[in-house]
Amino acid sequence: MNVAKLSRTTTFRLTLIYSIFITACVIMLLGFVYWKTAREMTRRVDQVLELEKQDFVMASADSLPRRIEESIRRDQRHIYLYGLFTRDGHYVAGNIALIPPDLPGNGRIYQISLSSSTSLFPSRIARAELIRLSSGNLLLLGHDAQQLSEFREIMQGAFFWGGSLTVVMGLAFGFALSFGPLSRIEQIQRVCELIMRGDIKQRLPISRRRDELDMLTAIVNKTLDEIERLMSEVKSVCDNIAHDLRTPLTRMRALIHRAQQQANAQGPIFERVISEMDSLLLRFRALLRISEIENKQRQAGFKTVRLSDILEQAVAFFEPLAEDKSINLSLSIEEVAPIQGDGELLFEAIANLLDNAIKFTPSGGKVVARLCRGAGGARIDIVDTGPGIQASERAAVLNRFYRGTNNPSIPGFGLGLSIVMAIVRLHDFEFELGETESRNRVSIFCRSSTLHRFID
Amino acid sequence: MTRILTIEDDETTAREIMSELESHGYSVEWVDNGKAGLVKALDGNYDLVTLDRMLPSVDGLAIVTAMRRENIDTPVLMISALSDVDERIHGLRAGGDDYLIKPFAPDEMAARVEVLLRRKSRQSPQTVLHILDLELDLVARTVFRRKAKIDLLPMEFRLLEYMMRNSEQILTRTMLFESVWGYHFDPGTNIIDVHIGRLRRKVDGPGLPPLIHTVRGSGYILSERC
Repeated sequence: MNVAKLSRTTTFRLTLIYSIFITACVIMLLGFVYWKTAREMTRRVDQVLELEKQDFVMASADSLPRRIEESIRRDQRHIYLYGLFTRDGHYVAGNIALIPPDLPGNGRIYQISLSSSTSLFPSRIARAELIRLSSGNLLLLGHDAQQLSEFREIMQGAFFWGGSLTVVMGLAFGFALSFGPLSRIEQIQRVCELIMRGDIKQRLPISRRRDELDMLTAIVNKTLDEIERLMSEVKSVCDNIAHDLRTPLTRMRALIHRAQQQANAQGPIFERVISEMDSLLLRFRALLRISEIENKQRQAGFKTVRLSDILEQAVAFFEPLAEDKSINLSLSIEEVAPIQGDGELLFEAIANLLDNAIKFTPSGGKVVARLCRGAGGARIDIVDTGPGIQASERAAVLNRFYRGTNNPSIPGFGLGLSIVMAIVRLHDFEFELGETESRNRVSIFCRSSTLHRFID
Repeated sequence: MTRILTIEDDETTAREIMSELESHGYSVEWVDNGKAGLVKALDGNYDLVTLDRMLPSVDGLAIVTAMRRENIDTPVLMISALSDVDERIHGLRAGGDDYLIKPFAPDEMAARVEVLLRRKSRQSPQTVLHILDLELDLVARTVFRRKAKIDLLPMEFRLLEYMMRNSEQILTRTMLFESVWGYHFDPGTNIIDVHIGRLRRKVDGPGLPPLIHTVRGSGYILSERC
């Protein structure tokens, strides 16, 4: 089960959306707490500065340097900033040597950053105001705001780690939650593949949870029950008709044959009747053959087979027929890996295709049986120079009893390709009617079509 | 006289088998159920058994298995409505000698019976087969007609070998396809006729008495009688 597949599940997406929402809520909550706390901390600092300001503004200009010195001495924690400067900015007293350039002298409180060169303290953030005194001198009052800055850093860390953790936890939770439903979907998918291959007896798994997925699979299972029942009814009706007619026909043929022998008759009537009955019997046999292949225990009897051997045998089998019709039948084989299949049925499929190709190709034409390496597996091509099947008829010729309109005079009853299709379906292969270099081509792709569709 | 036991629960089919085999000069005894069939088959007093695959009480597979367990090597022709290749394999593995699918043409059934009887009567394995002036050497893989060598393709050699081993017997197209090519479906075309035609042109050359004959409506026979 891969991550990409898990991340496409509805459960995962819902969990992800939910975790993003929760993360946003957490960040908003933290942001609100930060904003309120920072505002309160600033307000308190500013309040303290306002009280200090009132003290110093009331004092006389002469006593100011002394009061500043006293205040500095009292400030054991070094959190206050004091600076007295002449009107042109020269230092008079205090623990600040220079007026910070970004501090306007309008008596309002600003947040500033102090470097160690301008003050007697290490670099720090502070709230400060610059007051113009009645004497014209400038007084700088400040309060350390490092705590505020540290608080901001802590909150930023909390945003980052809190948010990341919520997202990561959300993703992990999403994957964990998706794993269960997805593994059930995969079980269902495996069963569906078996059903698609024709094993209609398979049913989708139902868990003990009785959740919405179980409700759905129960409905599908009921539908499959009904489909199976209808299919078996239709099939048994068809099979019974074919089977029941075959027995009396075989007996009739035997009786006519015996009558012919007893009468020692050579007349064409007997021959024609027997030949017509043989043709009828062949049709029934072909119909029952299709049903027999479709009924076959799914792929249970498959063995490792070499397609090159089968193709060689089939071509050798049809060679005399091609020669009799002056058709050049040739074989072209690329080495391919052995496959799992029913060798006898594959021979039957190839024999049907070769028989068709030779039957419909005019004298002097060419038929090529080709085994080549294709995408995903081997491919068997039967290519001929006959009139071919019109593109509009290609889907229809795969139906039982359909005969192409190109050569109505050639005998046949339109079941050969149905047998080929039944064999191809049993193997889960693919069949294609097409053209190659303006010649007719029928191809069997010897690869799992279900797997191929899935990969696509 | 050749004695054949027919174990078959369907009376019409049984009568067909009996009438066809009796017309070939065999004495046929019919039993319509598995139990009685098993007792008679275990007597071992028959030259051949035609055995229905599906029988009430004891089925055909059990009968043939019991016969082989008791070392009774009477040839068994299994007759079944189950045409699946797997069923055929089960039947043959259990000890059946040949497998015929219902409904069948009586002459096809008779032809198979004759081949089985002939196989039973053949004693030592031969390395050279002779029919009139036709000679087939199984070891040297050569064929001569009136001392003149005939070049055959491997499949033609196998076809001729099968026909010579079963000479003087009618061989249907299905029997030829099954025995020589080893496949069990209906090729549904005149392909077997074409193979026989090609073989015939090589074996029965101009001026030679024909050995391969067509039996109208049934199949072919390799016979020195015209």
